[in-house]
This record gives sequence, structure tokens and C-alpha cells, in this order.
Amino acid sequence: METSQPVSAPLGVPQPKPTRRVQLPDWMNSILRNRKASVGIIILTFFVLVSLFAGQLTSINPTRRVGRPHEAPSAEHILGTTRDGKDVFSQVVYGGRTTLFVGFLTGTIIIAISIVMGLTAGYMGGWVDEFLSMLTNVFLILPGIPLVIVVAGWLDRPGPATVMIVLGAISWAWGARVLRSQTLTLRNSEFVAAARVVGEPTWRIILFEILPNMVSLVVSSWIGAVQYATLALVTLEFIGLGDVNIVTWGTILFWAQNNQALLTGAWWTFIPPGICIAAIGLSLTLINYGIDEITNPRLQRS
Amino acid sequence: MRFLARRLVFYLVALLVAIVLNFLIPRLMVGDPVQLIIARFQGRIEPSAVDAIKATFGFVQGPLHEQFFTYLSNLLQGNFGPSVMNYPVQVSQVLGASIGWTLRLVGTATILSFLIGTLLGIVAAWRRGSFVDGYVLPFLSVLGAFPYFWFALMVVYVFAFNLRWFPMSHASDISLRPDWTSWPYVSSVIEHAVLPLMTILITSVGGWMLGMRNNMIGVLSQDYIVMAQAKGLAERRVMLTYAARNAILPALTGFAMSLGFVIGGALVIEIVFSYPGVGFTLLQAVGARDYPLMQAIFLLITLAVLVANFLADVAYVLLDPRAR
Amino acid sequence: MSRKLLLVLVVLSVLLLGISVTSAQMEIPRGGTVIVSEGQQAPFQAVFNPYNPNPTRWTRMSMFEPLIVFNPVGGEPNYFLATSYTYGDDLLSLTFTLREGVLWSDGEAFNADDVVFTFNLIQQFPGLDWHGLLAFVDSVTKVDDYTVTFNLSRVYTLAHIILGRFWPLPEHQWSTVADPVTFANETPIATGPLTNVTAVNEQVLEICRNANYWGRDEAGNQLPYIDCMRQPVFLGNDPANLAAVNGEVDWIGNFMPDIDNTFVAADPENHHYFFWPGGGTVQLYVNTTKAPYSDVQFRRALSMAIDYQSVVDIGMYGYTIPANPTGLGPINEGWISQAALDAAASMGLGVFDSAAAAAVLDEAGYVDADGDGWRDQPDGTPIVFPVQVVNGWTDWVTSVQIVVESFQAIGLNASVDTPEFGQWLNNLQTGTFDVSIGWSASGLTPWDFYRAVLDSTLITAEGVANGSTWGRWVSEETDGYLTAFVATADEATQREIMNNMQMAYVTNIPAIPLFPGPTWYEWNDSRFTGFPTEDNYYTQGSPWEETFGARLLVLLRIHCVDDTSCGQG
Repeated sequence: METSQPVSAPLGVPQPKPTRRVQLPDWMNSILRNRKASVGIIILTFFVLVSLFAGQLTSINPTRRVGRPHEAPSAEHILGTTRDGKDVFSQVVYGGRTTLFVGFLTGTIIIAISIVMGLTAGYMGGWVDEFLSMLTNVFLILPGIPLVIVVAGWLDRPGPATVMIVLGAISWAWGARVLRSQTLTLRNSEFVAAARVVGEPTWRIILFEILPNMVSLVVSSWIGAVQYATLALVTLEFIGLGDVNIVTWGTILFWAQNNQALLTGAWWTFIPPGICIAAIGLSLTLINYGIDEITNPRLQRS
Repeated sequence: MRFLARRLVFYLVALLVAIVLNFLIPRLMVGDPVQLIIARFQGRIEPSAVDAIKATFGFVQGPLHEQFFTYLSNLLQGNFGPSVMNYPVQVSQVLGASIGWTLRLVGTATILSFLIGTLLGIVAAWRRGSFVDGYVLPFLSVLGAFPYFWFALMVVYVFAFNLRWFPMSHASDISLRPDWTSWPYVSSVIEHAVLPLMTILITSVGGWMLGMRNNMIGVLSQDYIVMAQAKGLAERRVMLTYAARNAILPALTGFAMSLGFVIGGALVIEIVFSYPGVGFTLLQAVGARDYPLMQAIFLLITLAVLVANFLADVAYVLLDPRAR
Repeated sequence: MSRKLLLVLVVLSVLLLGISVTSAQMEIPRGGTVIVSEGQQAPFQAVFNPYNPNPTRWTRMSMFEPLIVFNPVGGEPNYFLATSYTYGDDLLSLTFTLREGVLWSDGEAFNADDVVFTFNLIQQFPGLDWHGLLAFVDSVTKVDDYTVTFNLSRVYTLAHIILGRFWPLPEHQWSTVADPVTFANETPIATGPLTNVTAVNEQVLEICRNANYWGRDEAGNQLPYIDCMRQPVFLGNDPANLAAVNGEVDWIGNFMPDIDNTFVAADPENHHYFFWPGGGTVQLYVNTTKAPYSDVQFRRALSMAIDYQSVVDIGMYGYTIPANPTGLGPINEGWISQAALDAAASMGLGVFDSAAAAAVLDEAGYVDADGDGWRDQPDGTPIVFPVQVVNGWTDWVTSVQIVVESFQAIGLNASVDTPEFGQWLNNLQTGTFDVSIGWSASGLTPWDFYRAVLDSTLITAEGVANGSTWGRWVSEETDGYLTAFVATADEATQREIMNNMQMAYVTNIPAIPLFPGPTWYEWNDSRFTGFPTEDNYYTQGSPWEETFGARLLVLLRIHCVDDTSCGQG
């Protein structure tokens, strides 16, 4: 649902003046020095490592039946088994890999479209801006999740790829709007004017003069997009619009719910994926929180 | 005023685009409503009855341009035609029942969430490092990180099924006749709304709070606030009339968008609590390829978002002298 | 205490007991609102037109009554608005004697005019032809006030079953309706036991007794015993099942996972279920127009490779039984041919045996030619096939996952493919699939099943497969059996035809039967009783059953346990 998206940098509000040419290493340093951001990064790194080394963590195939239905957690099956006898731990580990991959990739697609749309509109101005802003605003008023439900019905199969394409295609508008207004303020700055005088081509100015000055905004929008995409993916899968044959955190919850995990006492199929999703969400929130504090030092001062 | 006029033109264009998209998007889906009606019986009907069904539903199978003109002329007359899955009941009647529940539940939740979140945000920014800032905010952020359907299911299971403190499903006691003047009915509606409302609130309030807190901190460092404090104005007055008034501006558009999307319902909450809202109706309409019903819901969402946005623009102009 | 007094007391108490016992036998408690849950997953709308494609639940076979209900369990006729039927000697007419003394819920008398009017209305508005009558009925004539004759356009000896399901409409109301197809009939007039709609909204449907109902029990009491039926809307299985476990509903027709540990365990005294496997057989359909699925040996190997018991135990939660290779389930038990079963057994059909299945494939030349670990066609073309199943239909998805595991075990490169329902149906109808799970029909005779799966006339000229003819099986032999069966009224001939049909089915394997569909049915005995039980399964108990009309039989039997339970709800 869209109700909980806070507005971080809306149209028409003066933004804090960006510092010229932020160096990435500095940036990383300040993030690591920020307590909230580093906690977030640690959590996220943990899950990324688990996903990368899924094969080393468990030798059990998450899609094979390996035990009796709904076995409680034991030494053999750390998180028990599902209704059809699959290993929950292995499902959570492998499911996390797919969930994170799709979440990050979708977030990246969303932000990439936002950047192209927002920066082009903001820098070019004129009828290009008029047209792109119009497009952005139309996409902004299209209802997100309901639209995904419908559009998912067009494509051949439901599944992560479908969700990725659909979410990417319709969720970029918010970011584009934010980035456009930031571009507008940067367009008139001295260094952009200087670059224009020197005769740098437009795409170079956009990519190498303007974009680096919006790194914090882009990164925080990106993280927001990843968070949104992950939750949307999980929610769609939970209501049965994902591919229930693929193991992700969302489909584990779908199956748990269909087999009435809470009613039958099989909490191990329901609680762990929920906590994992929450942990990812929390880590992204913390990182964004940290980025906010770094770019806006006032937030940090007590 | 030029600003508002420009926005108005935009809204009109956006509405026209949305009307066309609303028509096209559902029809690009694979699957045919008539076959789906037949298939729902899973072989329990006479194959020759298929002709009867096709005869009845000819109106959803005409050429696309004919369907489009029917849709347009229906719109101009202010009706959406009959729903396919509830044929011959009109779409307006199908939606009539669910929209009320959605507006009441999701509308209340959205407004409360915004108000509480904003208020807490103001307090957190004003009293940095206090209990609200140091504990409530992180706590709400953690809650906000849970997928809310998961949260909703846990809530139903613990508070309704196990502890039996609240009813598990429906928007009111179904053995009572709907009557808004009778206290037993109204109180049952309130009782049934508690869990879904709390679920939406708890998982969404943190976002508003964080946004408001950060905006507020930005505003608090502005010169005019420092000036006001230096002049010895009452603290509460500085906080509310000077700082909060300006800090709330950026959140207004977001709030307007959320209000607009209220009409789309809260799908997962509706499913979990069997709450008869628009979100579930849309999901059903998609499953049955009920084009008229889908169109109507999308159009209503679009209209609501546009109106809410326009109101936000007006509020902006009123609150922020620079925008005039 | 004197012995005399004691004697008097003993005699008195015996007398009292005796009286209370007899009165319990004589007087069945009346009243009460039975709460039903049967998967209504959308708000109720007031559409009480039984000929609408999708009327409000309980319109058919409870508000509107048919002429005859043929019990799906056993096939015996239960006469409702008709009291008898006879075919003409040439089998080209069917005469029904109608019940006298039946009143419509508004007090008007029901008679032959209503039946004639309704059929003529259907002829005038083919959109009403829900039963497909126009395919075999020419006209109807009124013989007298309580006798009608349907004149058939061709010999069709299942006509009494289809016409038995026909719902007469009240002429005095419907004759003024301009367009009966789009008529919602918000204030219905009908003859059934429940006609008085007291609530129909987004949350609940409540229909109460018809004060004019004609039905009486053996003691002469007016039926039904219950006052009302109330059905809440649950937006999904989960809330419905929680309510059932909580004891909030009396009569249920929902799938419940792990039912013994949830629903039954919550109240073992009163919570019961019986999933009669009398539904249509769920089968694996193969596209018989494409190689290698066009090869009967390949299909035979598929049939031998499947772990049926695991499909039933894990995919279907142990709620049904493996199908037999004829495809006929318990509903057609008396028709199953031993000769066909023997033939199937000699071919190894329907028995899980990976090694034998692999041997069949080896022998037919399906071996791994390119060394990728998967079998290829004899000409070397790789075999890769997704098995399609509707996304989100968890019991079927799990079943298909097990089937695919079975196929992979014999070296076939199968996978699970889960298109969305609309897409899936489209694929099956247009033939864009290799292998898919799917439903079939079931009826009082095996004809309905074989017709749905094999009748090549159901495949349109454009190649759209209606019914369950998705496998695109076209054979003069099986088409011939189908036409011959309905052209004779002689039972011995019909049996012989069906024996041949079963033999054709097992030798050609046009589809691979997996399991007969379980019919979801649970009941809660704490407030109401008289439901069909496993021991006394007098008809199909599912409250959603409105094809045969079994629901009517249950409605007229159930009653509250005692006066206190009548008062609740």
C-alpha cells in the first residue's frame, strides 16, 4: 500500500545546498561511522552472505520432499518441515536469495528509470520537461498494487520476472519527481554553467556533473525503492499472485497460510520468513536513516 | 492563482489519459470472462448451456471500439454498466456496498496514522533524545518493517482466535440488521474495526513520524525559528505555529496521495479480516475478468487521487506564501 | 419410605420416562437458524433468477425446486414438483405428472401452466437455457392441469435427468417481465422450502422458511424443520476455517487442511467431516495431437510412473483415493467394468512402478540420445514438457509437483508450470499445452464423464475444446458409444456400451486419471442434527451441491438438537 511512503524531498521545497563533487570513499566512511547505518549494513550483509553461501549452509534441496509433513524443528531439520515435507531452513535460505535478488534488481530498475526520467526532465526543461512531467504525474496517480495485479494478468506467467517488470514499469514516478526537482536546483549552479561554457555534451553534464551531486538522494531513493519492491513482491506472492512453485519468502508464507500453519501449530513455517522480511526492511530503513543523518548533519546533533 | 490553473489543466489531461488507460489495461489481460464463468462450474454444467451464457454476455465480447464507445457513453451518463460476475447487478450497486466500509476503515486509518505520526514527529524533533525520539520512533520503525499481512495474521490469531478479545471477521455483527441509528449495531462496527485499524496504524505510523521529525529538524534550524525563540515567544507557539506549520508542507502531497488511494482499499487487510472493502472486490473482478467493475474501480481511484492532489495544491497555496 | 410409596414412585418415573421418550420420537424440534459456510468469497447481490448464469447462492435447489432430484448417492429419484415420469414408446416424448396442492410462496397455486410457460420462455429467450434443453426438446404440451408432455427432437434417454432439474417459474409473476435474461428477481416467488429473503448484503445472506411449503414429514409436520439459513461472506478459506474451528458455523462445504488436527480436534464430539470422493475425476490431460504424447506407449509409461498414493496423501491431504484407470469414481461404482480393470492391470496402468515405466519407454525407443541425462524422442528430438497447473490451487500444485518428481525419476525432463487461472484455461481450450492437470464431469451414469472428456463434437471448428475435451481425443469409436448410449433405454444395452467404452478408455489412455474429486463437507452437531453422516450418507452433504439438488434433501432433514439450540443464532 502506498499510504506509508513518507515524503522526503517534494516539489518546491528548497533543498540543502549540495557540496560539490562528493568523493565516494568519504561517503562510505561517513556511512560506516554512523551507528544506525552500520547496524543496517551489518544486518544486510548477513543476509547477503547467507544468500551467497546458501549451498554451503545447507545441503538440502528446498524443493524436494525430505521429511514427514510438518515436522517440528529438530537437529535434522533446524526449522522443521513444511506441510509437504520440505525443509524450512533450506527454503528460508534459498528463498532469501531469490527475494533479495528480485527486490534489489527491481529497486534498481525503478531507480534507473527514475534517474533517466527525472534528470532529463529537470535538465532539458521546455517541452521535454512538460511532456515527461506529464507522464510522471499520470503514472503517479495510477494505483500501484491494483495495477500490478491487473498487469500481472497480461503476462504469460506470474512470477518474479513478471513482478520485476511490472513494478519497474509503474513505480518510477515518485523517484523521478524527486530527482527532477533536485536537478532543477542544480541546473542553475555555477559548476554546471561552467561545464556548459566549456562545451561539454548534455549527457556528460547530466551524468558527470549533476548525478554525482545527487548521490545521497539517489542512494536513499534507491534504498526506498528496494524496500518498496521487496514488500510488494512478498505481498503479491502472499496473496497468490506470484509463482507458487518457486521458493521465496513470499511463497513460503503463501504455502504456510494455505496450510493454516498457525492453526495447526506449525509456527516454524510462518514466523521465520516474516522475521527475515522484517529484518531486511529494518536494515534498509536504518541505512536510509543513516544517510539522512550524514547528508543533513542537523539530524544527528542532539 | 496561475499555479492552480496550470494544475487544473494538468488534472484534466491526466483524467483523460486515465480514462483511456482504464479501458485498455484490463482488456489486455489474457482470458475471456464468458469462458471463466463457464469454467467456474468445473464441468458441472451442460456443455450446451454454454450457448445460453454466451448469449447473455454478448456485451463483453463485441469489437474493442464498440466496447469503448459503450464505456464512454456510459461514463457520460454517470453509470458503469452491469458487472459481469454479478450480472445483471449494476457496477455502481456492487461498489456501493463496499466503498462505505473501505472509506470508513482505510480512511480513518490513513488520517489517524498521518495525524499521530505527524504529532509524534513534532514531539520527537522538539525533544531530541527524549523517550519519544529515542524509543518510540525506533520501535515503530521496527514494526513498520514487518509485512503488514503477516502482522495482521498474527494479530487475528492471537487477539481474535486465541484470546477472543475481538471478533475474527466481518465489519459488523452479521446477525444484526444494518442500522446506523442503533447503538448495538454501531458498537459492533467499532468493535470489528479495532483490529484491522490498529494493524494499519501500527505498521504505517512510523513512516509519517520519521518524515515529520526530519522535516521539523530541518525547519528548526532556520533563522526565523531561532529569531522567534530569541524574541522569547512561548515554546509551544514556536513549535506549532512557526516550525510545524512549515515542516508539514512537504508531507502534504504524500498525505493527499494516500487519501486518494484510500478508495482502492487495503486488499490484504480485507482478506485477513473478511472486511467487505473495495480491494477485495477488485481482486475478484480481476480474477473474473469483470471489465466494467475493474474500470469503475480504477476510475474512482484516479478521480480520488486527482481530487486529493488538487486539494493538497490548494492547501499548499494557503499555507505557503511562496507558492502564490 | 414405605414400600408402597416407593412402588408408586417407580411406576410414575417409568411412565414419565416413557412419555418423554415417545415425545422425543414424535416431535422433532422446530426453528433455529442454521449457519452455513461454503466458500462464498464475494459480497452477496440480490439476483434470485435461477436461470441467471450466476444467481445468488441458494436460489437454485432450495428457493426454486426442480421436478425431480436424482440422488447423486445411489441415483434414486426424489420427487419434488413432479410425482412421476414416463417416456413415450418411441422415446420421443417424456411425460411428467405434477404434484398437486403445491402453492407458490405468495399463495397462488402451482400447475402445468407454469411448466409450459417456463419452457416457452426459455425457447423465446435462449439466454435462459441453463440446462441446455433446446438441444433436445422441441415443445411442451399441457395434457391436463397436472400433466405435461415434453416433445423431444431426438431420442435422448438422459432427458428425464436433465428435465428433472428444470425449475418452473411462476407464470403470474414472470409473464410481466420484459427481459427475463437481465431480470434480477429481487423479490422472488418460488415453491422451495426457503423463499423468504431476510438479508442479502455484502456480509451475509439470510433466507427463511416458505410458510406455504407443501412438504410434510411422515408424522404430517410441515417441512422444513429449520426456520432460516444464514450464510456469512468469508473472503477466503482462512477466515472461514477459523470460524468453523471456533464452532461458529453448523454446515460447511470448505477445504480444510489437516482437518483432524484443527477442526475435529477443536470439538471431537460435534465436529465431523466426510469427503465423499463423488466429484469428477481429476486427470492428467495430455495433448494427443502432439508427439510424443500422441503415442499410446508414451502415455502408458506416464500412467505407470506416477506415485498415486503420494499424490493422494500429500497433494490431497489423504482426502481422496487414487483413481482407477477407467476414470470412473465412486459415483458410478455400479458401472465399473471388471474386464476393463483387468485389461488395465495387464498393461500396468494406474500402478506406481518406475522401473516398469522406464522399461516401456526404453522399448518404445524413448532413450537419452544426446547424453544430457533426459530421454529424447526416437528421432532424437528432446522431450521437454511443463506440466501446467492453475497458480494458487495448492492441492493441485502439490499434486503436480509430485507427478513431476515421478516423471523426472524415469528420465523425463518435466517441470511444473503455474499459469494464472484465466491463462491456464485459455491454454487448455486452445491446445497450447503438452500436459496439464484438469477436472472432468461426473453424473449419475458414466456418460457424463466420458462425454466431457471424449466427445469430439465439443471441439469447435476453430479448435476450441469445450467441456474437458482438452486432450483433443477424436475417435469414431468413442463418439459412437456416446451417441448409442443415449439412443437406447434398455439398461442391458447401455451397460454393454459402457463396458466397451471403458475398455476403449484403458487401452487408448486418452487421459490419465489421478483421483476422484473429494466433495468438501463438514458439519457441527452441537446445534443442528440430521446431517448425512459417513454411516448414513443419504445424499451428498456439501451445502454447495446444486447440480443434482442434494442440498434440498439435506435442508428438509436437518433440525435443531433441542429447543435451546433452536433459540440461538
